[in-house]
Amino acid sequence: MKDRLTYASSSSSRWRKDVGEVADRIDDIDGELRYVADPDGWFGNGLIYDGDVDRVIRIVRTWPGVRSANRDILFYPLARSELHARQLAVYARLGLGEAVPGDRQIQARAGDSVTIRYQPPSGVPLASGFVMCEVLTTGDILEGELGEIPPCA
Amino acid sequence: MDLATLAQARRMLVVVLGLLTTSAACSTGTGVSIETPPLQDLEARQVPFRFRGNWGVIVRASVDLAAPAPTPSTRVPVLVTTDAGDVEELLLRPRVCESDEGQAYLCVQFLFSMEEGRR
Repeated sequence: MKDRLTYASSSSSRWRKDVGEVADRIDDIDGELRYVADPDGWFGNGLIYDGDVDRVIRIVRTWPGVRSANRDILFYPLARSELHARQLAVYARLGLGEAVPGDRQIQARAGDSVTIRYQPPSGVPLASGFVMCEVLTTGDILEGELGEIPPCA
Repeated sequence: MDLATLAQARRMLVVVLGLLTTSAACSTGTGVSIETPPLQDLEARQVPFRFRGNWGVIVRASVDLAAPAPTPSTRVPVLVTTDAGDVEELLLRPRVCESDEGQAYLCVQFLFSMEEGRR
């Protein structure tokens, strides 16, 4: 896994700075830079925690240095299946600080249980969850440590 | 019951009341429709983001086949609680959207490329 992720250490500081700037901008629009590829003319993938992706794309296109921004199109045949049409998902930030109910960020510490509940209007409530694993902060990309996957992934 | 416990119980009550309020199918007036369809396969997990050591949570579920499929504006509230006392309401949304041309794309992700020399 690590071999795919250490290219930052061999790329220029300019590239790392540019990636850091884009990561900041995505953070500012309530999103997250998920990955980048090919430091020789790079591209990346971002996610947004909320909001409309087309509006975000219009914003991203105005950023300095951005050549293009587009929807993340699914090309495989099942992409339009009934199964996909029924899938729901949401991302949220996970923080390590004190719990602040209602801030749209989930705060937890290693070993904490995180529980998700859904109460349908009728029928049995659903619940799921996980135990927060130990988090090893890898440091900022500007410091040249691009993404080692922590051991609990 | 000490004050801290009381305050935490109060915060939870506020969030739960909010969840109950939004649980009834309604329109927010912003094009988003809060719904409570029957769900299956509710799943949550911790996900690493490689940059800056950030972490996130992804919650996934599927709308039961017996119910109408969600629309792009569908938002389904779920309640997240932690041992540390956090209580958050998250809104599930469709994972895959479809363009007017019938092309499927991820609703909450985008791709971008940078100009030559930006490295």
